[in-house]
Amino acid sequence: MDESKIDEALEAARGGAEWAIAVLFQSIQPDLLRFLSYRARDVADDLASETWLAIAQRLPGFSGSISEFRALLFTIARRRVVDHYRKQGRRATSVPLGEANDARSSDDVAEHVIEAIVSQQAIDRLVERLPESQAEVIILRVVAGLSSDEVAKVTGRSPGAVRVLQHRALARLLKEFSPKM
Amino acid sequence: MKTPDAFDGEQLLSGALDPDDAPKELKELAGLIRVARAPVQGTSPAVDQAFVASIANEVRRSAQLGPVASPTYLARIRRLPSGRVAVATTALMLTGGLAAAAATGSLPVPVQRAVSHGLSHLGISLPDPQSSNGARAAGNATSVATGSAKTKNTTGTIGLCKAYLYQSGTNGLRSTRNTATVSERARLGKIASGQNETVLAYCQGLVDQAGRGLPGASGVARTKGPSHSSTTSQGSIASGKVRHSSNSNQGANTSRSPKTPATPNAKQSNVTTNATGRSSAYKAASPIPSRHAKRVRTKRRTTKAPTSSTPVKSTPRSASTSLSTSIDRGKGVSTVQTTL
Repeated sequence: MDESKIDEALEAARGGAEWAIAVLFQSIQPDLLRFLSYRARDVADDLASETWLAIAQRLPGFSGSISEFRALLFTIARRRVVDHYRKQGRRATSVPLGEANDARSSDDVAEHVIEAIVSQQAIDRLVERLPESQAEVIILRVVAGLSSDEVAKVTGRSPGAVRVLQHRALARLLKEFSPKM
Repeated sequence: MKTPDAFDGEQLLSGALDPDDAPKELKELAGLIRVARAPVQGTSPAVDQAFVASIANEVRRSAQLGPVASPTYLARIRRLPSGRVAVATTALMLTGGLAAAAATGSLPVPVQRAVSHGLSHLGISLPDPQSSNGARAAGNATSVATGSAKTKNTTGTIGLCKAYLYQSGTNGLRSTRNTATVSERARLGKIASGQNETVLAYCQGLVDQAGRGLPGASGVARTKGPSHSSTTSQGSIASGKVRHSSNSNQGANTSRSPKTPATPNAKQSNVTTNATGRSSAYKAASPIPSRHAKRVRTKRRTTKAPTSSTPVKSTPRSASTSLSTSIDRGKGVSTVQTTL
């Protein structure tokens, strides 16, 4: 989507323009849902709705770029995930493939289920051998589609620290997935 | 093993690197990331429209409400445990200040009496304005030898009277305690009306009485310690008289004693300028050598003078100010005598 159009939509969305919010929603919702689906598949839709409602309350007073808006949105989403697992007394982890399969297979189109499983499997393969800090950076970058600076804002780290984590993670992934001689 | 450079890394993570176009060592990783970035199955467009409308409503509602009003500062402090501690500490400090004032007998008579009486049940002894013990306790601070309550009251009254006379410009008095507060003036008025006198007449009579060293004026009995300290003793305005006479006779004494009358009026009334109220009683009690005492008194006077209220007649104050100034500048006795 055109970046200038999104900036314009963000400006109009502060006043509650429905078309502008629709533009933002269509632009960000896929990444948000993918991120939440990876972290808490059962309640991904609910957490996404809560996140949008929370950001709606802050929109009138928000003054920043679209990048900052995305960072704020994912910061809220990340906290919602933590709160969700805190209430359940569980630690936030990715959903096992079998559980994801059960949750989706009954009422969704088979194609979507397969896509989701494949996607989930791919994410699991990417981060399963990474330390937690590196895995979080990779998930936010790949799954949520955030830039390095946005990841820094979401995680509360400096941009430099995020880039270092990202570089180490990529080096490790390259070592793992490169063809063996 | 080659590590991905920044360019490759950004392309990889954003999914922009097509696995078919990627270098051989990056093909598998680029493919995985592409799959991981595949969109999750979305919700139906109808639901999205309704949800977007609800978000827009929420935005408009929040814009109308404005920022959430924050509770007042005190209310927020009270909610905090540390805030409660702060409030309790403030109350304790105020109570402590009251206790300290009660211990020195500085509270108004009815309050002092009530506090003293109340705490006596707890075994805490505080000055009681009505009992001889109280007078003695207060007298310890002012080195009152006689233990009668009347003496203490008179002592305090003399101090007030001096402040009153100084303030009114009468009698040429100069006091380190230059002002009488409204409540103190009211107290003086009450005492004077009890004697069927005006405040002015009552105070002049009392100060004159003290100057003659009559027992009722309480000054003489308090002049303990070395003989030179009598020249600085408060109540003993009479001692001031003695010193004044010695000033006129002995130049050396005068040079050590800059506390000479500030105005000709003071000379006429035979009252020394250091004849003060409570604060000079402290001087009488303190075993400070006269030279040091002079320095202390000089400092005290110079710091007090600017804060004093404007007297009705400006002559005594201006005279005293010039005297203090000349002493401060170290011009010596001759300057003082010249001023006088």
